[in-house]
Amino acid sequence: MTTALEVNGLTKHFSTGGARLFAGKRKVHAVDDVTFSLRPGTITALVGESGSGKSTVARVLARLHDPTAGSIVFEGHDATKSEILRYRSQVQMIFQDPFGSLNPVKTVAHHIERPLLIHKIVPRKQVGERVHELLKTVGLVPPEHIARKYPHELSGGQRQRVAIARALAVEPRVILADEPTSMLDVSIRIGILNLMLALKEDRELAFLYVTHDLASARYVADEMLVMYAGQIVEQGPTEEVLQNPLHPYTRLLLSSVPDPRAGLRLEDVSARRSHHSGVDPVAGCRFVERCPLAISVCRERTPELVEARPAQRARCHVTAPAPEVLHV
Amino acid sequence: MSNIAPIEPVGPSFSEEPVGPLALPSSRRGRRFGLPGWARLLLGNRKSCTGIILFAGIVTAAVAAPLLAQNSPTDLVGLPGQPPNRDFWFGTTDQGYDVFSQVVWGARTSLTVAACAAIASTVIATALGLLAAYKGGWVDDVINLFTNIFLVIPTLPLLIVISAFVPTRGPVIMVLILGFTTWAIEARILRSQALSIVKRDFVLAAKVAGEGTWGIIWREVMPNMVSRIAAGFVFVFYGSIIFAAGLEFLGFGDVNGTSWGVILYWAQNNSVVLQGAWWHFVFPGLAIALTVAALVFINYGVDELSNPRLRGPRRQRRMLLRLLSGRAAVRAEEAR
Amino acid sequence: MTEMLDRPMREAPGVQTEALVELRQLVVDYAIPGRRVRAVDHVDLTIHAGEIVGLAGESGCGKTTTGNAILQILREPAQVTSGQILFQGEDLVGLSREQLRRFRWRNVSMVFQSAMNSLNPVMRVGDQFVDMMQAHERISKREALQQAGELLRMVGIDPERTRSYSHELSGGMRQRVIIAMALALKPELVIMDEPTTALDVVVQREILQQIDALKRELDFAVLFITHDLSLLLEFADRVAIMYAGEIVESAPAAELYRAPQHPYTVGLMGSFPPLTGPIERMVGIPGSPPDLSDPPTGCRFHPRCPHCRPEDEPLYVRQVADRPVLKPVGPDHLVACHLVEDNQ
Repeated sequence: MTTALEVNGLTKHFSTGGARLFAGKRKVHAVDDVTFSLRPGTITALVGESGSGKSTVARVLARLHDPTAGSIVFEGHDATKSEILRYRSQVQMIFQDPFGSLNPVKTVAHHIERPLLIHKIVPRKQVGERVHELLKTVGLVPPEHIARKYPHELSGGQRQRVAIARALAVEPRVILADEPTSMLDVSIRIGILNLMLALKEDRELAFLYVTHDLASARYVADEMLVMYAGQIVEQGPTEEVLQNPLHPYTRLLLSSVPDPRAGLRLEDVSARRSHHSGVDPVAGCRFVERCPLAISVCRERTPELVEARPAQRARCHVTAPAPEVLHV
Repeated sequence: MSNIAPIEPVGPSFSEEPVGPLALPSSRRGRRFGLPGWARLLLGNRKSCTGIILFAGIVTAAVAAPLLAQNSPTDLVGLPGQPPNRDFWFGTTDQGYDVFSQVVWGARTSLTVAACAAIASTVIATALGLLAAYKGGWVDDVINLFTNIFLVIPTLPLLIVISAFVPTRGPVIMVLILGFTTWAIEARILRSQALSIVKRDFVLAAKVAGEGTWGIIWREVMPNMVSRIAAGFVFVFYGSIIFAAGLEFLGFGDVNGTSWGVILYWAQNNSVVLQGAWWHFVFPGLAIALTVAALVFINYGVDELSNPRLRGPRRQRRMLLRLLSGRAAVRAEEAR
Repeated sequence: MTEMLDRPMREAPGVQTEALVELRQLVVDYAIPGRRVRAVDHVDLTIHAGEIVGLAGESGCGKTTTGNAILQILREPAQVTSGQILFQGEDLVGLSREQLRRFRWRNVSMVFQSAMNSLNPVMRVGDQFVDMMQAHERISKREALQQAGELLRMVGIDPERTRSYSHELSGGMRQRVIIAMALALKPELVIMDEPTTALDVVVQREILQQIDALKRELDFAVLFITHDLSLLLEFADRVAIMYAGEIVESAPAAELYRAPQHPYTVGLMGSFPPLTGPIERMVGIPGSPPDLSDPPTGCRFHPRCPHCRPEDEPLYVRQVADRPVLKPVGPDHLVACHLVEDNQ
């Protein structure tokens, strides 16, 4: 199966303002050496806590930032060298804040018309009709009524649907969804997730679903990537990763999600509280301070992503050791 | 196409009443005529309403100059040095020109020059301010450098120096030099406000949709700043009236033209103060003062448009009451 | 398909203990010129000593307003129109400003959603504690700082951090500081309004465990306001569900999880995809919460309710005309629903 978008060794560093005069700029390693592919007709979840770099990955893929290193392969070419308008007609994005991603002084129609006009998807005369079609596709009916409305006249879920309609206007192959439901009311989220599933099936779209919510990732995603401190620490089919997590961080995440079936799990409250800052990281595993399985090599060498189970990779010396290590 | 069943039917359960930034408090004035929200707010605010009426009156007088002032401002029509009387409402100059005619016809020039200068200044300020905010990086640095240069140099001396070197005189030159020197402060202010807008997701979304730099500035950013730009325009408008009058008074305008500042120039040149001919400078001076005051008042309303927190006539009265007489008066007001 | 819950048994501070806080028919209105929005509509709620009561609902349901009303920190244009807020039997609504000032923080305190809004960015953390303590009792600065250090230690932060500024702490640590401040005067009730929503799920769990440990040590009650029902079902003793300004269901957490009755509760619980078990297509709840300045007649949920169909007269007539009242359907389990009432 072809891939819609491929990311190889993607790295993005931001320089923070140097605190001291001659100390030189410090670098925040937002994303380090991230590699994965997005395939048509699949939803890939990118899971991690805030500061893990997941949103940065989405923004680099949307070409809002230029990567520090690594490549984005699109239609066989390195996207950073190819023409951006063509890229934008194939790769679109949905943002987290449904209200913020719409222009408050413009109508719904404006938001959907602009991409149609910029990329000349349909002749000018048919733009209005196409806007209505797109609104129907995302479940906003009657479209004539909605098209004239302003964002503040819509509910959160409706605004997010407008954002999805806007993304669909250019008939993209890839949609990057950056936490599309985290600012919506709980009962509305499922509707948006169902819409994503339907679009994936009907249009063979490739979705990148960035989220911190494991449960919703499980609901929609075929593949799961877990990020920590800018690196992918585990990747594989969603069910595999969730039922048999390899990386200690994945296990920590899973055990932290509220589950009404268990009572309040009372673990040691003093557990591992130090937090990774992401600035000028040293060699070694970035999770070592919080890891219950840490051994000496974990502080010395950064582990590689190793395929410890079929199609499932993890970055851990203990649970997914590199093959040479086993030859003792 | 796709046949996904609509999951969220939208129907009459919708509330039609808008809430949020565009919802303006209702005002009795203008409601009947179905005016847009911003017009209602401007008319509802007492200060800006006064300003609008006053300014409208002045503009009408200027437009109706041929009807209003039968005498030509450039003809010697009467005995020189007459105080205001039945034939010459504002009296005559020491040469014999009709002051009233001069003021009314001069309004045309003064207002047009100031308006054009304000337009030019606002266009430059908006373009540069928004471009700097959106592009950031070296573009921002370069524009900031220019803005700072123009800000640091005091405007009136700059105008005088430029006027001294410019070969021709006249309204067009006045518009150009005013437009090119007054943009800096508004550019700085608009850049500040634009900085918070360009960070918002809808600007990024437009970029991802493929919108170009000027498309974003013109279609996405600027419409969110209209009221601030309008406030800036009014500010530069009345500022230009003052600067133009000032330059003309100092002799840097077209001394053969008809505008308020030029009237003052001649008044000063011919020492009318010593002669006691107050009507020669009081009336043009009053015209300037009233026009500027009217615009300042209008700007109170425009400020409310751009800053919703300032809205509400009750709030202003309450604040004033609190200042003057303390809590008891406020409670009495609230009970009303 | 109900499932037997195997929750660890918890002391049930329900029926025997007297009520610490009782809301009786509380009504809170927002008086905006031109219209009146009823944010809290005749709400009854009881919180017993040492109990964790969860108040769940989506945006605009009135849960934050309710929390603010208890602490009497509602700001204009919101006001308590009628009803009683009883703290240990005494009605807070009639109290003077001075009485309220002494009551706040000493008897009931609050933890807000964003520590950013609660912590002064230009003051050291310790000094903020000192400020707060000195406002309530005569205490020297040194002693107050010492107590602040102790409080920080209690929430798992190094006492040396009293010298830190808030921006030097991580999000989770800031939230712990807020909790420590809320507990400084050993109140009987702490109202927590979305205390963990802005935090990661890992930090969230740590904070909840911390709160649980503190509760066992200091014995205070908690009113936990959040939209995350799954969290409440795990953490709270009792849960009340709010919709459009009304409480539509309340029950012990285990009972609510086992047998939710109100269609909104059922829909809400059907909005949380499971982490284990089969992955089935879920539905959520169609439509959106109503505009409170013009709410639906009768049962506020009826436009979105799958059980409200015009064909089902006479039930339909009642659903659109009469407001359902909270009625018991089991021990300590109240539901406000015409359909449930009919089925009793």
